[in-house]
Amino acid sequence: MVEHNGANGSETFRGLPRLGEPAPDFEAITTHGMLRLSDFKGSWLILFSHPADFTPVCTTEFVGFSEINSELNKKGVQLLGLSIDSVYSHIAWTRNIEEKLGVKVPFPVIADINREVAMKYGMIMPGESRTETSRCVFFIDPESKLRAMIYYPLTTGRNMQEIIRVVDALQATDKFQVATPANWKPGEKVIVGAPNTSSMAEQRMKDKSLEVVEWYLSKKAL
Amino acid sequence: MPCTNSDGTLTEAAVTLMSVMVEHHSLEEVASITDIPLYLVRATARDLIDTRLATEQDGAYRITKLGSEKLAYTLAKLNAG
Repeated sequence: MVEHNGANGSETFRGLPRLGEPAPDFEAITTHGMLRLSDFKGSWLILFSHPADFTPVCTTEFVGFSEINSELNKKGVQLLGLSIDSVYSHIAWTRNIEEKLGVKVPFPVIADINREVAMKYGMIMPGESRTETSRCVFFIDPESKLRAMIYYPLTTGRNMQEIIRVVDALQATDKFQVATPANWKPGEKVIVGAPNTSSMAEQRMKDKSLEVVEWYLSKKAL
Repeated sequence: MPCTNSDGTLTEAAVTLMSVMVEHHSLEEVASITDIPLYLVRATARDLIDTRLATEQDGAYRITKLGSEKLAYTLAKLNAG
């Protein structure tokens, strides 16, 4: 983990966690009680942060995450929110969302008041804000390995369908050992790994079971 | 997840889990039987053990005598209410 001092030298901001490495461990107070990263082992986890409770963009996002929660659960994915607010603030805000917008927030939310988890995951972007977490999304696999990250600035709400799409792509990769092309969605053809020898490239060009665009670009249906 | 309410009774999740833990079960089995997400089962089981309401042996969980008494007390209170 890379660390460097903030501009005033009084704070230490850690670098981002790295893809393919174990997700930083944590134990944190949440709206569903004390939870640890290890509690989620065996299922996929989407850990996401928002800047602050009772703010407009975050409210629309919480409605969005709540709406995709059951679809994600069916895919073996649990959601876990986080912001630098108290658990009482989280409880009040989620109750307010249910009362005013008719949406029950079904997932736990970390009350990271001491910023411990936020710092471990590099959720604070000092150039944007020193007191709020940016809109980060971490895709953590059943072995607690960090598989994908998305970062949005404070001003831009996230796209829920893209979050589902990334889950689908990661799970397809694990299940079928393939890669997925740009804008891929389930049901569409996937990328077959490129040959790494001249003779395999020659063979690939003759492979009628694949859609071979070029020796290094081939697709197949799942 | 906290397993005890401020009035000393068990939380709804704790009652559900402990009713299953009358017999030895792994947490995966408890999650499957109760339809409670495994992460919540793990967190609640941790609290049950910390408060000596359940024990774990070789990955199987079971409520203790104290847990049994607390469960009976909570159920009686729920039925009375």
